[in-house]
Amino acid sequence: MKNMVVIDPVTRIEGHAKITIGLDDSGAVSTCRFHVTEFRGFEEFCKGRPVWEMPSLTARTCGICPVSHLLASAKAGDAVMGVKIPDNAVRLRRIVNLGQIIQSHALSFFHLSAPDLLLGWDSDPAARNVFGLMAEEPELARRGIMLRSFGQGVIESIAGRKVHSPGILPGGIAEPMTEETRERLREGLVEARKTAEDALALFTGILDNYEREVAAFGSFPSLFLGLSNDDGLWEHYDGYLKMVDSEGTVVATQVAPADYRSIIGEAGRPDSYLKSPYFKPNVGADDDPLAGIYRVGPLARLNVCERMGVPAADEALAEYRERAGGIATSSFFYHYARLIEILAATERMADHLANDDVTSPHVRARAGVNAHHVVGVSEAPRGTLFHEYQVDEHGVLTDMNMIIATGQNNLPMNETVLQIAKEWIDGPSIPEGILNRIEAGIRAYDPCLSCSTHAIGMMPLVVSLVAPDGKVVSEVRRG
Amino acid sequence: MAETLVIGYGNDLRSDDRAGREVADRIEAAELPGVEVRSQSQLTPELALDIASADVVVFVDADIDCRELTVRPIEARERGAQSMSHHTDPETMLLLARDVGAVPRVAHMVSIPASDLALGFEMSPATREAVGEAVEVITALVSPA
Repeated sequence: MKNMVVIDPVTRIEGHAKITIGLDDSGAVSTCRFHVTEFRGFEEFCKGRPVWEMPSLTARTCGICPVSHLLASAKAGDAVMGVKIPDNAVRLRRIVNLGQIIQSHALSFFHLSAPDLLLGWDSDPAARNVFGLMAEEPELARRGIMLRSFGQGVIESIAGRKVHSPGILPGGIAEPMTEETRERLREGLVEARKTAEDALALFTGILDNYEREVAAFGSFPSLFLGLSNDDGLWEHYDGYLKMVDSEGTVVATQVAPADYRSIIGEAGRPDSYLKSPYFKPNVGADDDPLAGIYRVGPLARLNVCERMGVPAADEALAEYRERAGGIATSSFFYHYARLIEILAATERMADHLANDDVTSPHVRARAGVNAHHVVGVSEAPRGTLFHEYQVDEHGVLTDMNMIIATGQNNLPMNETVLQIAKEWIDGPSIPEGILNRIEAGIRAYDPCLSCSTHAIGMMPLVVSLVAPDGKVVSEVRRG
Repeated sequence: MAETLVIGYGNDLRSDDRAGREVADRIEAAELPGVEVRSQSQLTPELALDIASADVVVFVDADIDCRELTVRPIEARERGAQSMSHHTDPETMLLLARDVGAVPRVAHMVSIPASDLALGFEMSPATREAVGEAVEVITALVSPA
């Protein structure tokens, strides 16, 4: 390869990564690779540990979305015990997950992406961050922090701690919700919902300014995976796997989470620790996994569901689909979908808290080991999360596999970066604003590479522009 | 809100990296009057709300470049483009606290020497000893004269 651009490290995402952009002989962008350069090996570390420890251990895969791992792991633990957990335990787990969605999406939108959207792609990079946002939009930035704090408070109230919470266990929840907590959360929901509505109004008000970004930030056909239920409502905790294509045609449904391997394969790449899951039926033995590309997360969940099941978010979904022309195929719409999910989360949480059974003391089932091969699935903020465990008769893990949301978006992130590079890069240099668009294409997915490689750390980015002979023509480094 | 906020952070599955959290847990167990404690895997933006309402804040973290227990005053300062990822550093947290309310009157960074950050539950002997020392130093620091 003679011409290649490398972006290393990528900023405002979680973990370490770099991007390599290949140029052809005419200098035009021809290839693009998103590499994740850290490895943690968490799956190996967990072998030999009791399944009862898994929620606590796997939650430490990530300090950003630990609740997602807690839930998937606890559900796998439920399956090991072979129990149906109490209805109120399900309700409380759902509330915790809604809190997790709120806090995670709030961070993604208000802190990581709003500086691009509100201050401009080409604005001074030194000020294009949350502090620049504070200066320009102090009330918005402050309310973003408050919204995130509310979501964290929900988690702490039910699960016992904001991060690596001990209260979510195989069999249910450790402690029931008190009336005091219930009222406090209901009070907090008022401001949270207002912030969600205002952010949504703000975003829809500026969306038309980003026509070119909508067209080039990962706008391509793919499949979309999410949890689903028989009512067709937006699902974030339970149900079966459903996959639709860019036309909205259902290509797989009613797939039990335990059967995920019937539709999902995992490919490795030599230049990244991030695995590349793909839709198995579309990929033959010798095919590129790209033939089975699918997306997960807010964009996918909104494409998979028929409706949100709560009034304000349903209204927002109708406008969203009108703007997207039906199924949303641009990854730029991840931002939009996140805001609708925050709104839906506040409405759903209000419904759960209005149920008088929410303070029921029956929140835990107990049993020994009744199954040896189990899968726990939940919707993390970034997408569908799989925990698959093999345990012995004592409940000790002999094997495990985790499929993380960000990994499932690996192929789409590659395609997104390629599309952005083709749209904006012209020649061997990368102007700052273009570099930022490339990064923002990745940020649209809000990737958590600490989770997806089970590695830990910040995510600086390197972008390299590489010639056909392998010579690095240009390199930009951040972080 | 507390007069003093102690924030210990680190990965408690990474051997010596758990030092900050270990200190936080011990300070919390001591139930010092007027002292609130946060034990975190990393610093995240919403902590700014708590920091902004504290008079004194003490950050505690393991530091692989540190040879001995170090206590130093810190100030609000932005540290570059990476300053606001999903998580951040103490100086940036203080800056964020300023923007959401106020910077604490006093802010300290307590760095605990670390040498082993491999996966594991146990701290190395030197770090374990420094953790005990840090608890004493912080207790003296936050106790009324």
